[in-house]
Amino acid sequence: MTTPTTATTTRPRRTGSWVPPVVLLVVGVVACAMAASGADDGSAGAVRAVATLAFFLFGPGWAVAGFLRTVTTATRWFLAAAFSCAIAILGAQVMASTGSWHPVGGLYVLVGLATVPLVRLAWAAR
Amino acid sequence: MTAGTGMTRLISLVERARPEPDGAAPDDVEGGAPTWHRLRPWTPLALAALAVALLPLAAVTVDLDAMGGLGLGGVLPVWGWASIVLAVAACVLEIARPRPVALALLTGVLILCTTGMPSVVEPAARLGITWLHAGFVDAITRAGGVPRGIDSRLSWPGFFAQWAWIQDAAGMRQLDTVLRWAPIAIVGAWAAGVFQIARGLLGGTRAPWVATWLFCGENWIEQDYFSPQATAMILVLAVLAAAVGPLAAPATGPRRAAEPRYASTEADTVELAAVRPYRVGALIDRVRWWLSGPSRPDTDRLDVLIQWGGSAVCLAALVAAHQLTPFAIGAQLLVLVVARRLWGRHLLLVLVLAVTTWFVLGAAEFWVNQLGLATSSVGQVGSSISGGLGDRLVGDVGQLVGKFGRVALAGATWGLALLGAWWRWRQRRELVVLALAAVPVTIVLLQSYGGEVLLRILLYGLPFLAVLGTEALRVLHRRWTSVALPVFAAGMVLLCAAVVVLRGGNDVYLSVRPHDVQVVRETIEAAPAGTSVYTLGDHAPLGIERLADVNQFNTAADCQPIIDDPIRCVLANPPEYLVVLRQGDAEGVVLGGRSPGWTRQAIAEFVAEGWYRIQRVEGDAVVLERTRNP
Repeated sequence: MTTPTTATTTRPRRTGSWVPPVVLLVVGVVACAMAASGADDGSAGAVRAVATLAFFLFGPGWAVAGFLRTVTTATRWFLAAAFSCAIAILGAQVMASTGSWHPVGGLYVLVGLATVPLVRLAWAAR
Repeated sequence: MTAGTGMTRLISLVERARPEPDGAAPDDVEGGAPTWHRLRPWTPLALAALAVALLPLAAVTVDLDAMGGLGLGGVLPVWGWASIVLAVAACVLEIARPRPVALALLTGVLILCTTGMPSVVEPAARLGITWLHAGFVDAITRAGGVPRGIDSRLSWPGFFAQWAWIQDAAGMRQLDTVLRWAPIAIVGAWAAGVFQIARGLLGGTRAPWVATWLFCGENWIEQDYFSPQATAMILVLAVLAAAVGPLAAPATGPRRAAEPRYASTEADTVELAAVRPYRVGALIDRVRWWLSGPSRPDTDRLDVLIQWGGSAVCLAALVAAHQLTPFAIGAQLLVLVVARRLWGRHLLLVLVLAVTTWFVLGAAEFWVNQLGLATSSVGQVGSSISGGLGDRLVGDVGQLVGKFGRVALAGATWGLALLGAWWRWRQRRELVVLALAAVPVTIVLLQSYGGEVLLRILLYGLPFLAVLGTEALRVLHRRWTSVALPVFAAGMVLLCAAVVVLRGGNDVYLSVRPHDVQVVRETIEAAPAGTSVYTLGDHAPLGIERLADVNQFNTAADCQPIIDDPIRCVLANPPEYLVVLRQGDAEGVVLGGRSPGWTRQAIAEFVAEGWYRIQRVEGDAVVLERTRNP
C-alpha cells in the first residue's frame, strides 16, 4: 500500500488563477469610486474602508507577485502582502517627504499603476 | 509456511518498497501513522470549527476585572482553554492524515485561538504603546506630512506614513478596530513567512508546518502589535524566504571545486607541489572558490528577477520604517553571503546603500540632535542585559511566574534548537541556520535601544530557532515513532496554553477598555493647545490624538516609573489634566507593591491640597483638572 502525500496540494502552479487579480482590481476600483464620492459614514463608509484596506494590503503586491511562475498559491499571497506593504511604505514616505500629501490622489495613482499588470494576469490565466 | 502466507508477505514487502508518488520526500510520510488513516477527512475541520465557536463564549464569560498578577491566564474561562485544545487537536490530526489539505486554514485557527485570544476576549487593543502609534499616524494625517520635534520614532516614519495614507484614503476617522485585530493578521503573515523559510531549509511538506507552529508557540515576545517592528518583520521574512528559497545558491564546497585542478594530471600536481605546499594551495583555492561567487539558482529566471527586485524594495522600505531591523537582517544576509548560500548577494549592497542614504537624508535630524543619546549605549552589553532581563524580573508572585516562564521558554527554545543544530551538523556538516539564529545577538553591541533589544534579538532569530527545533523533533520522531504523535500533541497543547498565559501575563495593567480610550480621547480633544495631559501609570492609552499641540508625555525628571512616587512626579511638572484609570492602579499593585486603591488616595490628596479638582468621573476613570500651580 502506498501512502498518499501532500505533494500535489503544495506543488507550485505554473499559471495563477484569474480570480485574485480580478477581485483585487474590482476592490481597487470600488475603493476609488467610494473615495471620489466622499462616503465615510454608515455602511458606505464601512465598504469604503474595507475595500481600501484590502487593496492596500494585497493589490499592489499581487501586481508583482502574480507574475511568479514557480511558487505556490500560499507563497504568492504572502509575497503579495509583503510587497504591498513595502510599496505603500515607500509611496507614503515619498508623499510625506516631498510635501505632496494627497492620500486619495495617491490611491488613484496606485490603483491605476496596478491595473495594467492585474488585467494582464487575469487575461493570461483565463 | 504455506504458499498463500508467503505470497501475502511478498506482496506486503513489494507494497512497502514502492516509491512515493510525485517524488515526495520521506519526510512527507512522517506522522502518517496508520491509526490516523481511518479518520474522517472532516474531523479536523469540525474540531477547528468547534474551537472557533467556543471563542465568543470565552469572550462573554471572561471577567477581566478579576485579573491579578497572572494576567489573562488567571481569568480565562474553560471555553478559552477548550478552544486552544481543540485547535491544537485539529492541527495534529490533520498533519497525521495521509493527505492533509487544510493545514493553512487550521494554522490560521490555531493563531486565532492562541495569539489572537486577547484580541477576542478583550474589547479593545491592548498595550498603551499601540495607541501611541495610532497617535503618530494621527499626527501625520493632521499635518499632511511628518511633523518634527514630537518624537524620535518619527525619524523612521515609513510605517506611520503608510497607515496615515490608508486611513485618509479609506476615510477612516480612527484605527481602533485595526489596532485590536492587528496581532492576528500580523502573526498570520509572519507564520506564512516562516513556513516559506522552513520549506526552503527543511524540505518536505509536513516539517515546515511543524516549524510554523513552533514559531507561533514560542512567540511570547509580543512585538506583533500595531507597530513598525511588526511590519518590518513581515518584510524581513519576505526577504529571508527569498534568500533561502529562490535566491539561494546551490550548496557547493571548495573541495569539489579544487580537486579537479590538483588531481587533473600528475604533472600538474607535481608542479604545484613544487611551487607551494599542498595546504597553502588548498587555502588559495578555497579563497578563489569563495571569491568566484555562488552558483546561480536553478529556477525560473523571471521568478529570480522578481524575487530579487521585490526583496530590494522590501529592504528599502524596511530602512524607512524601523531603526533596528535593517541591522539585524544585514547581519543575517552577511552570514548567507559569507557561507556562499545567497546568489542575490547584491541585496546586501542595496541594504547598505539604503541605510546610508537614510542616515544622511531621512534621519539626519535624529542623528544630529541626538547623536549622544544614540551612541551612549553602544557596547553597553551589561546595561542591555540588565535592562532586558534583570530590571524586568519584578512584581508580585503572578508577575514573577509569567516573567520566569518567559525566560524558561526562551531557554527551552534555544535548547531544542541547539539539539537540532547538532543533528544538522552530524548529517550535513552545516551550521548556517544556527548562525542565522544567533547572529542578531551582534546588534546588542551596536544598539542604542535599551533593554528591549533582547526581545528583538530573540524575535529576529526565532524563525531559524523554530526550524532547528523542528529538525530536532524530526529526529526524535524517527527514533520513537510509536509515541511521537501523542507526545507531540501533548507538547503542543502545553506550548500553546503557555504562550497564552505568558503573552497575557501583564494584561492586568496592559489591557485597555473602550471607555478608557473614550475618556482619554475626549480629554485630549477638549484640552486647549499647549496644555499637558498625563496619566497615573506608564501603560495607559495616552497620545492617541493631537500629539503636536497637546503635551502627553510625562517629562518629569527621575520619575520612571511614575508609580514609585506619584505625588512628587506629578508635582514636579504638573499637567493641566491628569487622567486616572483602573489599569494605573493595577500597575502599582502588581509592579510597585502598592495597596489597591492607591490612585484614589493620590486623587484625594491632590484635591484636598487644592491643586486639582475632579472634572469628570466615568465609571472607574477619573479626570482631574489643575486649579492652581503647586
